[in-house]
Amino acid sequence: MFAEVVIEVRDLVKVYGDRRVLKGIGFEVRRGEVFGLLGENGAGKTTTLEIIEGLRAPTSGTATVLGMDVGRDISRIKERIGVQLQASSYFEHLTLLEILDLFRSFYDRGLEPRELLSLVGLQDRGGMRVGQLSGGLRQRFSIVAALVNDPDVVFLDEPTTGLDPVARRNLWDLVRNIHEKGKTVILTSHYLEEVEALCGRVAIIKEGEIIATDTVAGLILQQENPVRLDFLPRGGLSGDARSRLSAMGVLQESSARAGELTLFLKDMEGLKAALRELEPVGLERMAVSTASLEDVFVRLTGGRITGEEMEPAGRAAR
Amino acid sequence: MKLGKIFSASVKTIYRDKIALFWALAFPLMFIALFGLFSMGMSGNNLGKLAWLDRAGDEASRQLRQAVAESDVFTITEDYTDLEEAKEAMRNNKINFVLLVEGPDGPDGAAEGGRIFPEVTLFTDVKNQNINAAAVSFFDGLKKQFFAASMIATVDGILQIPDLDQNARQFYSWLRGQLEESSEPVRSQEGGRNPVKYFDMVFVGLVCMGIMNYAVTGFAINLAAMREQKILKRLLTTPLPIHRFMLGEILAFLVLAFVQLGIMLAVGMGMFGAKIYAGWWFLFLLVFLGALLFLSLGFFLAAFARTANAASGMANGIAIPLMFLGGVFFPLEVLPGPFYQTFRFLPLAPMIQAMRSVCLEGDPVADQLPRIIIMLVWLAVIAGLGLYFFRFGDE
Repeated sequence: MFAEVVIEVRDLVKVYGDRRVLKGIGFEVRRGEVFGLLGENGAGKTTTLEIIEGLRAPTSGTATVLGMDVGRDISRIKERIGVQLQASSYFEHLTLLEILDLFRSFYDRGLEPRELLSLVGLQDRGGMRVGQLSGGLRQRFSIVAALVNDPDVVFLDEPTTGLDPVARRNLWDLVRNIHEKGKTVILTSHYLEEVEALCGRVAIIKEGEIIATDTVAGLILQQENPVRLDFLPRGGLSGDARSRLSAMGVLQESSARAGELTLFLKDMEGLKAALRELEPVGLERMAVSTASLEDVFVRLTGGRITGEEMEPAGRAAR
Repeated sequence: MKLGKIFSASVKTIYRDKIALFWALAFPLMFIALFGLFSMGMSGNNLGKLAWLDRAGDEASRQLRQAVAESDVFTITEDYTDLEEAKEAMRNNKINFVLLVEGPDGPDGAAEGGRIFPEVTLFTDVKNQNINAAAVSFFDGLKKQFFAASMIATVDGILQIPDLDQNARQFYSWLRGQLEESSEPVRSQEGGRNPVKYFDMVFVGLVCMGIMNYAVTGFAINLAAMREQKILKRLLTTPLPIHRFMLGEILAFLVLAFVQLGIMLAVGMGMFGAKIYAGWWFLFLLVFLGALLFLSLGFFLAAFARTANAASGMANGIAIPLMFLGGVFFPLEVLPGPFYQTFRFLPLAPMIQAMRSVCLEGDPVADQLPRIIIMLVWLAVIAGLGLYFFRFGDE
């Protein structure tokens, strides 16, 4: 019933000086999955990925890819994985075709450079340099360059960081495309909606530890209060009403809209009770939804991804 | 196959990188052209126009004039008869030197405190420091010849040469050597040496400097840029052993060093008449060894440069002092002893010294072994340190 495990990580610990960057990371990725590592900057996502890719050595713990140990069989593993590094770029003085041709020569098997470019709609730009491409196209190229050996497993580290919302969505289509070809994809991101949109399963990392691993739906349903009610009370809410609603679930000021409140509830019965409670108050606006991954993330990590890590335009598109 | 692709990608990268190309080609070619033009302006060893004011009109002054004319060191003009007029023309740059030849004043004049012997006075313009010393040296040499040949019986005091200060004398002593050699009688006395001009000597220095600049700066920038752009890290995610990639890079840099050498030789020798007299194979060997040595220095510097810009600054910070202290523009031998004994061990100096000795002076290659050893020791030490410190990835 379950597909073969292609990546298995056990008790990864990474220590730099007196700083424990990874504190015993463990997870499995199955064939054909898109698996997400979600966490704030500095949580340990990239370090974890780079240990699996053979770029860093763990202080302790093990990682296997396609049944091979990264410590012992890394060169055999490298034949079968494709890696897109965070903010990576390529030889600035070579053309796209020349770069792909060069990287193709490092592998025993692989795809033709022109074929790869047409995969991402860059077939007419093979003679251009990476620097001549827009940010979105550059990132597409960076991902397609990771497919040059027709890998079984593709690693994407923050693939859409710094892209505008349109370019980001285009890139999501590319990732889905890769997934449809049967590849296993493991990606890191600090964009919650990206993980929600792309990943079958997610591991949430906080300060070098995995605090939850499940499908996005599973993570949401695991929550105590997965039903979300957003509302804007007409003329405010009395202290009494506020405390009665708080007793039904979790009541918060909305982070998105001024004056609005968000109430997380256990189930439909709770929702009905809350609506009854609000009937005399009168509502300007109201929406019912399932809690999002962000709600889960906030609940689990005790904080939200804020500041420069979050792109306002991306959030506004929700 | 892989190596071929890496090699060709590296060649394209270097060729298309305009900054690297500038340091590789334009920079040394600029110097070659500059010194070449300077040497052409001197049309051989010609130092410029000399106004000849002959007040003696005797046999000694005629012989002196003939010797000066035959040397081709000056273009003699007799347009001036008045000393003050000639000096004014010199100040206005119409002529470069004024030579006044005065005969003895005879027994009566001598008794009144006049000249007992003929006197020759050279007037120079303080603006022309670069050629003044050479001219003074020339006459100094000529004076010695006159002594040696005993052409004039009462030669003592024939020349009054204004004394240069000690530093200038030291600095220009090499030029005196060149000028003395270029006048026929001296050369035939010393026998068998090549008629090496100053430009030949500088040209060899510039060739070595060009190789150094290209290798240190080009390789340091190239590697630092590849690390800055995470290309090296990206390469580590492929099955390609990183040393294979480095081998392809080094081969590309070496081949292009020889292309650079070819262009420098073509321009220096073809356009500006520089000469290499002997030991072509030794020249190629030195270029090969020097390129390897300076590539390793570039590698070492790239280990500490976080960005390509930093690498560029560091490489220039090393290459420019080496250029001056390595004796590109003057032979190190003219430096005071302790400085010479220090600077001759710097990486560029033995390359230049060995190339000049063999390819210009025609010295035996075997004598250059100590210099080759100095270069090999530098190569081993710097390459070793580079391998120790350089990180391709993050750990």
